[in-house]
Amino acid sequence: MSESRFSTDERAWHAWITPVDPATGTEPQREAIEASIWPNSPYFRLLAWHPASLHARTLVDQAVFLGRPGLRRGERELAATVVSRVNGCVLCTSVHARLSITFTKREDEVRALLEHGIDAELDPRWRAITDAAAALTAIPNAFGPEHVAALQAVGLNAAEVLDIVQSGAFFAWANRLMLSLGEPLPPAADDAQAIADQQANDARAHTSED
Amino acid sequence: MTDVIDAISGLDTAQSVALRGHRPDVVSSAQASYEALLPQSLDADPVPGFALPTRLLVAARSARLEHSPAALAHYSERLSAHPEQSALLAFVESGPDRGAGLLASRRERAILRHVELLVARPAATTASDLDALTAAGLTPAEIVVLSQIVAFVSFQVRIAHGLTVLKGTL
Repeated sequence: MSESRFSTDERAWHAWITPVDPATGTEPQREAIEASIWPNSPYFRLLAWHPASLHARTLVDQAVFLGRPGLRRGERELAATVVSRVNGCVLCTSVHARLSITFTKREDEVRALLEHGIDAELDPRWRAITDAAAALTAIPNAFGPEHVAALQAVGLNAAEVLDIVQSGAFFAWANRLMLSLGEPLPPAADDAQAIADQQANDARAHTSED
Repeated sequence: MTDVIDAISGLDTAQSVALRGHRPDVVSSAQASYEALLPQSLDADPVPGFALPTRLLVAARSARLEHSPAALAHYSERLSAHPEQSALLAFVESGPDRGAGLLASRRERAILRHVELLVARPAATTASDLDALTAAGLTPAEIVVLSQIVAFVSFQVRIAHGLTVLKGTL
């Protein structure tokens, strides 16, 4: 039995202030919700109070994680998982740990990260990625030339190093919103639509390339 | 408009192309996020009540708390273009609970306190922290804009710092 509060279990998210109701929202609000990753989630509906920034944020998310070529998707998801684990975002950690496992097939190491945090035993490549993402997370200035050198030593080129930086930095943003505007809870009947969005996104990942 | 991440990373055009050129969609969407939250004018922004100087105060204070002198200089310079709001520049340095901050309005102090929480201890936020913002007069839309600016600056300064380090390896 795990002692850690971090897992790959699905989590619903409940807002602390009222989200936008798509039925009564403005056209830009409805469009920003529809373009988001999970249109039925109260998280994206809440961010739709300011539709321009939600829309731009969705574009950043897709550009950072889906853009090709570059670092394998699974290792970008690993960086997202590390940052979310360090920041303490239970929902982001569960979502991106599942995606890390889907793309890398390395379930044991991902579960070790959830259980033990960034000191988990990892191979040199994942150690370098984890150390870089964690350094950038605490205070950005902790990330230095030694992290770049360690990533290059395990085979990453400069573009792939920037993929780690951008994947980690995006979760500095995403974690702060998710942690501060509501809370994760085990799914209940009312969360069915929002959870279905997460499952559809997971299913798309299963048919995507790493 | 100048790309703001290039500007605060100190990248010239050739360096930007060398380091960021493989992900043009990240460059354009990060700039679009900046322009959505911190535009030159709020004329086209549908969210009322959160004035541009307040948005720049939030961004400048976030940059200061993130230890990013280049981003701090960028947002402070933009804030100084609003001389009628010169008191806000002092709050960038003081924060909510000492010096000039003690003279800030209840609303400004509530905003500044939330910035401190979101930069340094986001996992410690509770529903009552949002209640405090509501009690200080912020609407849900204003709470979202405040949160988005702090969170976006967290992203922006990390990419800029990463680029600054990578620039040294070119």
